[in-house]
Amino acid sequence: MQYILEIEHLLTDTSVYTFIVYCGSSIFIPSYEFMMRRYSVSLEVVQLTLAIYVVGCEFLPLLTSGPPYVKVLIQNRRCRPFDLLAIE
Amino acid sequence: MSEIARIGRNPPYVLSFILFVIVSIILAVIDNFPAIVVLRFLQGFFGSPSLASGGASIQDLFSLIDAPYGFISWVTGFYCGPALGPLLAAYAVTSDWRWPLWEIVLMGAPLLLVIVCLLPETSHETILHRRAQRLRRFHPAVLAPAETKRLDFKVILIDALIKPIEIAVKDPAIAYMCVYSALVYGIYYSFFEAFPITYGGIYQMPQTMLSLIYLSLIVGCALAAVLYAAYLKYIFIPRCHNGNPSQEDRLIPALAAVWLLTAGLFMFAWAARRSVHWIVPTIGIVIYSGSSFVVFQAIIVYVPLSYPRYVASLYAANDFIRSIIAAGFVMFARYMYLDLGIGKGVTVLAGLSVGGIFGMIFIYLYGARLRARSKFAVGD
Repeated sequence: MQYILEIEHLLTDTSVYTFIVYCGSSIFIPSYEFMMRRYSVSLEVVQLTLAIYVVGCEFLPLLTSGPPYVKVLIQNRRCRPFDLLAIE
Repeated sequence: MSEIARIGRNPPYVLSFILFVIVSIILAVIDNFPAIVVLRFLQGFFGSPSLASGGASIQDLFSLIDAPYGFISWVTGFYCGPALGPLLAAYAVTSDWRWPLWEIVLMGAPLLLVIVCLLPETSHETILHRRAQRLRRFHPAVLAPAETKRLDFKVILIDALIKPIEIAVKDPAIAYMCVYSALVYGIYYSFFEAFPITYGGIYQMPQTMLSLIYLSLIVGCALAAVLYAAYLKYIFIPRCHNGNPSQEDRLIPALAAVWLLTAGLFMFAWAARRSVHWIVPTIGIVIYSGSSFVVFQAIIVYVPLSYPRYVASLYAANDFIRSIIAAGFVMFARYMYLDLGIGKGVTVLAGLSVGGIFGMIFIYLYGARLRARSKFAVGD
């Protein structure tokens, strides 16, 4: 029961997290005209705020992702992750 | 980094999300354009672990057969996020253009509390590592699996940075998956330019009403998620229990979706004119968004099966290519649509996606042979 709760919890957390980050990319679009007037810059310069955000989104994964972890799962095809943890 | 047992998955999540919220707050109060651009980059930068480690955490929790269920909610998050952004902002921006930036803070801060207090650690190696530390108080000889092998920094670096590129270059299936998902994602981002031109220009809708059109992306995504979950529950998972389906069988839903994706784009391209009611191109968008959701799902489950050792790095490389291309689309799409018009502009993109149809069929038929030739892949 606790495992199911944990799964639900993690799924909502990671999904909401991802949602917020990606929502943050386009949420700025309606502000474009206001920013163009405020800082007197052209549209393509304002568009940079979206483009550079999307680029920024990808730098950290390149550095933080690394080697094997699904190997365990593959080797134990029939075995659920929590079976591994139940051995105490 | 998230693969190192001593650290686990949570600290990178929590730390980067704290920084994400802090940068969002600074962004909302600062009044200097170059600073805004730099802070936007940092905001994206600190938000990014959600995508890379999110997939890894989900794979920690689900068996191979059930993993697609886990991915549904996660892909929905990253697919619906950009679609809801303009809508959330369009009504707030009329009073103050900084409101959208505060909205990011408003959404982020409560989640930050939840993540800091409640997010469970999922990395198996970390959990075993901590358990070994506890047990060592009574049995000094206990070692966790992570402690028996030594981490070689050079190997980690090569695995993370060089291998994905090498795999993508040497294995056409992975190269295709990267290019095609980048194209689909780029088209999705080009809608942020296409919609104002289509619905604002051709159909004369005001900005607030126009941002409601983005909901069609979510409608498509929701329909596809329901259909896809039903496919998993009633067709795919029973098959898994009866026999071992081949890896390419996971691409079956995508085989239908690639056709629909192109059809939806053509529908949007050719129906976007004043003589046709606005709902017709919008239905095209629904078809496009639903089918591209299924395509992303298929790619996310297909890739790790052939390269379990490099999966996190492959996701990262895939994300990297996808985002660079999406950023490019953001910059050039507007000029393409203004010069060619919506009809021809989207037709160009739809024409490119036709190539994706042949690619998907090719991989479905010959993927097993390609994998047999690749020295990185894991055989069945």
